[in-house]
Amino acid sequence: MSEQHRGQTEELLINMGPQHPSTHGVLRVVLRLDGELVNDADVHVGYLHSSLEKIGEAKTWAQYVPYADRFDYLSAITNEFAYVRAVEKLLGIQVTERCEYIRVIMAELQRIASHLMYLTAMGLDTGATTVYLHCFRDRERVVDVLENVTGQRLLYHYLRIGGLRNDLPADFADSIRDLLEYLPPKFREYENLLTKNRIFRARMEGMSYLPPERALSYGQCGPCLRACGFAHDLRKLLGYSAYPQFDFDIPVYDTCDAMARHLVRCDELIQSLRIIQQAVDKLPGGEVSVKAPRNIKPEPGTVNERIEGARGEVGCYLVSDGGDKPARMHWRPASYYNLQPLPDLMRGGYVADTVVAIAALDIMLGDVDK
Amino acid sequence: MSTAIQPPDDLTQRFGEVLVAPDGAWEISVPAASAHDALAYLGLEREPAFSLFIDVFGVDHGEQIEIIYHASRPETGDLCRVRTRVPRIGGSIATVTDIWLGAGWPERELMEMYGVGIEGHPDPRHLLLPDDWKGFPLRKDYQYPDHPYLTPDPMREDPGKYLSEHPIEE
Repeated sequence: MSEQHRGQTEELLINMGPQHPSTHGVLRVVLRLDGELVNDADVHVGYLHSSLEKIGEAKTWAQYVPYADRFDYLSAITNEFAYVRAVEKLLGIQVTERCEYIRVIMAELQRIASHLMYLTAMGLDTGATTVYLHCFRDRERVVDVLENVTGQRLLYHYLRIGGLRNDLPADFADSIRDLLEYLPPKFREYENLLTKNRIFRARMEGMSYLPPERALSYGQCGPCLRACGFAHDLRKLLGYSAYPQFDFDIPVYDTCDAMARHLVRCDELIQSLRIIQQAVDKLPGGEVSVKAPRNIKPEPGTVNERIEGARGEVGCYLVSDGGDKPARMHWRPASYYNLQPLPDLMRGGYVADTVVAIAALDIMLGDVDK
Repeated sequence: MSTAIQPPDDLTQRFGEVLVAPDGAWEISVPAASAHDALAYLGLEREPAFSLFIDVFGVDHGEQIEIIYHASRPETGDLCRVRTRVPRIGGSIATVTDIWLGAGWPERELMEMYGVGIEGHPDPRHLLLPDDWKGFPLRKDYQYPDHPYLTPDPMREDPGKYLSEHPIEE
């Protein structure tokens, strides 16, 4: 900061949140301000803590699937995906090819819905109300397709251990074709409306910078890590489920700022559409579920499953003692690790940029607070 | 993805037996006293280092609390898992926040949820639980409090007594 900003000021302690429209839920940040400058920030989380890990020890393996939805409730399918894959690994179940394809389609639709929600919030937090309305309108179209398949609009409970709740409805092919035609022009519209907007760029470029080595050390994941120049995407690196059969790119930017995080998500929207298109074209026939035991009792042992959720790496570590309930369940939520460097991002910036720092991380407080 | 890849030679040389877990992770078990040295080797000294922090968490095994560290590398999907155990009563372990900054929050969780001491932690406050929370909820023998969030309501317990002490003003 140049000298002209440094007048005689008294340090001011100010509470941002827990009830603040730009904290995306119930996040409380205590800011130490020197005039308009942020000297330090202290992040308080836990307002939404619902002991989802402890609940896991009281529910049977199959009963827990709807609870998994509730970590990152804007990306519920990817949480279910991690959980059912972990239990299937523990049981040694191999699901059908058709099931894997449908899971990938649903996970990518969910990623689009989640990233559109990010654009909504990012637009709103930087004062672009038009983008908010447009993105919400288009997210509805995606959620309509998800509703048509699963019957739910937010928390789907669609994936089952060993398969899916139901096969795709008869009109799915038509609805997905409409969606794949509808969305690409809209993505170009957002680009013109938001990404190329001078005011938006001035608010984003160079803001909330996180050096790559610190990003690794903090355990950043997903779009936040790919914005620091690392092509780290578990869909490619681990090649789980049906992902190795699809052709898609990993968008990577290396400016490590809020704009890079934004651009990664914008590019991922297009890549997700590519995956869905290929999966729908090549969708194999057959059953969607294999026979899983009704009363699940895995052999004693542990399993760890990592998948790429909309916000980054979702990890699920399960311990079985041979009983009908998990002995221990640990979740590695993506937002939890993405939020941790927030004081680093805010320090030395202006109060107005704190909002950009939070929004660009695209955190989900249900995920942070577990 | 149980593609069992052989663990790198330097790990086997340094730690002796390196297990390839069914999920493909390389597993190392170390005593709690030397856990920090082992993790510093993996996260800082080794080339290429496991510089991408994944997580750290506990598992209750009765007499002992197991602590599990996960770390990875940004270029690959490799996962390195380090297991160590501390005693349930009075158990403690050195912080790894000097190796990975991201360990700050999960170690705070270990302290509040399992009662494991973290030596040298820069910010040992509660993370998810209220500051005055009693007990360690993720331990198996945790007793649920009667009123976890609310203090008893005197009006509900004995309305007559409450109203005589707090008359409603006209």
